[in-house]
Amino acid sequence: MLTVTMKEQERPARSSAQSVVLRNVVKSYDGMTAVVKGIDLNVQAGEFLTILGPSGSGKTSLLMMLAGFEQPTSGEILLGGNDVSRLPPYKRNIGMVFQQYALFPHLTVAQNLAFPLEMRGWARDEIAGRVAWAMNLVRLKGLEERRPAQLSGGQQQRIAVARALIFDPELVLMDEPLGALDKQLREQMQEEFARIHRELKPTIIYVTHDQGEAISLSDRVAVFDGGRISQIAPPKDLYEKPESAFVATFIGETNRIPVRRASASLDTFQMADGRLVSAVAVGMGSSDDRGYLMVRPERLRRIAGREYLPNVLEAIVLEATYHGDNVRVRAGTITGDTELLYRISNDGNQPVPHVGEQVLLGWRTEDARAFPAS
Amino acid sequence: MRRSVLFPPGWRLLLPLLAFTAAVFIMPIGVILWKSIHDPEVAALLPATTASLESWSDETMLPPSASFDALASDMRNLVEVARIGELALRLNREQPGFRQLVERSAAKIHDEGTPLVETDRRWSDPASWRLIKRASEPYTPRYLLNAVDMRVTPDGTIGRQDEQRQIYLRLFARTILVAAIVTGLCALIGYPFAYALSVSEGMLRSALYFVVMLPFWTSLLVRTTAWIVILQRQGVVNELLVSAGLIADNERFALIYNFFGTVIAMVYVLLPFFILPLQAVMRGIPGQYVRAAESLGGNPARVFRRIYLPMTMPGIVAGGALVFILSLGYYVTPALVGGRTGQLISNQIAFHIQSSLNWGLAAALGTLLLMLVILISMVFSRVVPIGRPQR
Ligand SMILES: Nc1ncnc2c1ncn2[C@@H]1O[C@H](COP(=O)(O)OP(=O)(O)O)[C@@H](O)[C@H]1O
Ligand SMILES: [Mg+2]
Repeated sequence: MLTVTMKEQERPARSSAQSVVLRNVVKSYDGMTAVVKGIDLNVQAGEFLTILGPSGSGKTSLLMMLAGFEQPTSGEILLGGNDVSRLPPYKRNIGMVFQQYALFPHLTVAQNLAFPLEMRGWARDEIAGRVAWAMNLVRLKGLEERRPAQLSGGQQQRIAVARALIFDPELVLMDEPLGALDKQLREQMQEEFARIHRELKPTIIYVTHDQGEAISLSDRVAVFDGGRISQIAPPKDLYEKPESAFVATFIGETNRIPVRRASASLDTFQMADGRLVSAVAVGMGSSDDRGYLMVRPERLRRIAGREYLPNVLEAIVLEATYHGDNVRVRAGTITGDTELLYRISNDGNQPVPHVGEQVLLGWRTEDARAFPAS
Repeated sequence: MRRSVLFPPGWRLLLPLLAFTAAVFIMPIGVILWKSIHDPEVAALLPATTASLESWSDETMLPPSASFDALASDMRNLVEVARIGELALRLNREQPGFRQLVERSAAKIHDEGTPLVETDRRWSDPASWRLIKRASEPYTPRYLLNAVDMRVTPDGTIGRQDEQRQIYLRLFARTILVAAIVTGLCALIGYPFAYALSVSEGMLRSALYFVVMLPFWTSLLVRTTAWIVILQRQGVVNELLVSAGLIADNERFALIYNFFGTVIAMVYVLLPFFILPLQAVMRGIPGQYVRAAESLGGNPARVFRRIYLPMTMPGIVAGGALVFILSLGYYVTPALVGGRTGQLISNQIAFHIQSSLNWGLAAALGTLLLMLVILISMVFSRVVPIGRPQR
């Protein structure tokens, strides 16, 4: 979780959360092209790991292999140290939350929750107690006898989560669980997920294409790109120290300035108009001549007075959009070949520039990163 | 225009359908229901007798002599217009023996001028007159009673039908039994097939669909005849068994012209009606439910029983209801391959319409069959509310 300062609750004594290890997992549906191209991954017991990637990048395929609905073409999957690659889903002890919830429509809420316990041969009164515990966990006490169709989307989602957690699984998988909800409900459910993870500390692998969810929920995020993990890191590192142009553009907004290598010096680059700028070079080999310099809008600053910054560009304001707590400003460099985006906090101290106004925009070397163009 | 609940906008568009339904469906059914209780035939044949018997009050005694004269004159007239046979046949249905009685007495009255009382001593029995009076009443429960093996005895009470005439209840029972067996077999054979159809894609799906729809592309008569070729004593199945040495030549199975033949041919003909609605329901069930159930720890057998089967229940009930109700009224197939033991109630109805010309009884049997179908539809729709969305 991003907020490390949050009060840690005690771990429940009976949690059976397990670690997950993937070793060179490959999946190909047609035997020719791989959609998952060799994934190595270590997830710790109790960790909340998010898999973030564009649609079609193989996230669901990976989850299906973890759950046991698909067999890896090669590689192994270890759950708590045991190879489960060849086990059928019902022998894996993995809880899964589906995007469409998949609550059984002919069963009541309580019967839905009891299902995994019945399958495990629990006694009647034990089941009743555990169902009550789960209803409490997701704060839906009193809805036990409803049918899924009589619940709102958010309530169905909570029941689906409760059903995946009720049997204390070794691993919980969630495939875009908030995809079907509206924005407000989505934020509410994110908080709910965070709370439940704090309380129960299950191992969770969470799939999403929404970077906001990934950043606010996870201990670590694995960014997927074309069947590979392009970076795996805690959300803060991912945002502030992306290791590839793909990650930098996929997570958050960023300014992208095409540059060429200027000298033997590693951190100096030349813009199209010949101006020299500096940035932290990431993955730029000695053979890479062209690249992109990236700087986050909130790290691009309008220079006021005598402030000194090593990189300064003159630009003309093209557009200023009001967003409530901030104003987004789009500006073009004087030479007209680069567009820049920056934000002004709407704190009452900073004047909002008008369209056509000339501004000086600058950044610190350590706030910009340069990636090879590939 | 004012909005009205009774006439939603565009209601006139329904008029052709309503007119058509009224003409070819509601009206004939109404006529059938009417015919099963309304029978003016005897009153029309014996107008004078009917009128004179109205004043006959003490039915333990013989009617007044005017009634004897009326019947004699009615009979004489019927002989002259050659319709005495109708009366004889009609009364014989009420009481065996009356055909001969009526024909003989009428002949004597007409040819020799013999007084009615002297033609047969049964005319001196008040029971015979009671029978004629009962039969001349235009509204009668007798056909409906006959249809359930009951009858109005000549003295006006309701009792069981004679032993050898009790056939309809047994026939109804057999019809229901056949419908149940056919429905059960359709379910057993059709369920796995519907599942295969619902999960298949592309060429395979087209091929399976083709197999299901095949029966609809040939006439019922041709298909049923094909079963005769296959199942008869010298047919394909028996020939194969004999040539494989599994049975001797004189041990050939009677696979057709009996109960078994009716059942097997009906299952074949009705199978699509079970499979098609069921596979539509199955196709509407996203795979995620079964996956969710498996991931929650259910092995395939338990997932099937607890999740998949209940979710496909509306399809089973819809298909089952269709097959069961169609079976109840099945006619062509049993007529062709049913032999003696494979005849159903519809065959009896057809017999009364075409051969025995007892339309009243045919109407009563039809009415009863209709009641049965309505009752069963109600039971089915109780079990699974057809038409109400499930989710
Ligand atoms: N069952 C399947 N059979 C064949 N191809 C599949 C199947 N499932 C997914 N794919 C393909 O694999 C690729 C990755 O899909 P998926 O794992 O669903 O990605 P994501 O969840 O990231 O959107 C896609 O190109 C998709 O078409
Ligand atoms: Mg997906």
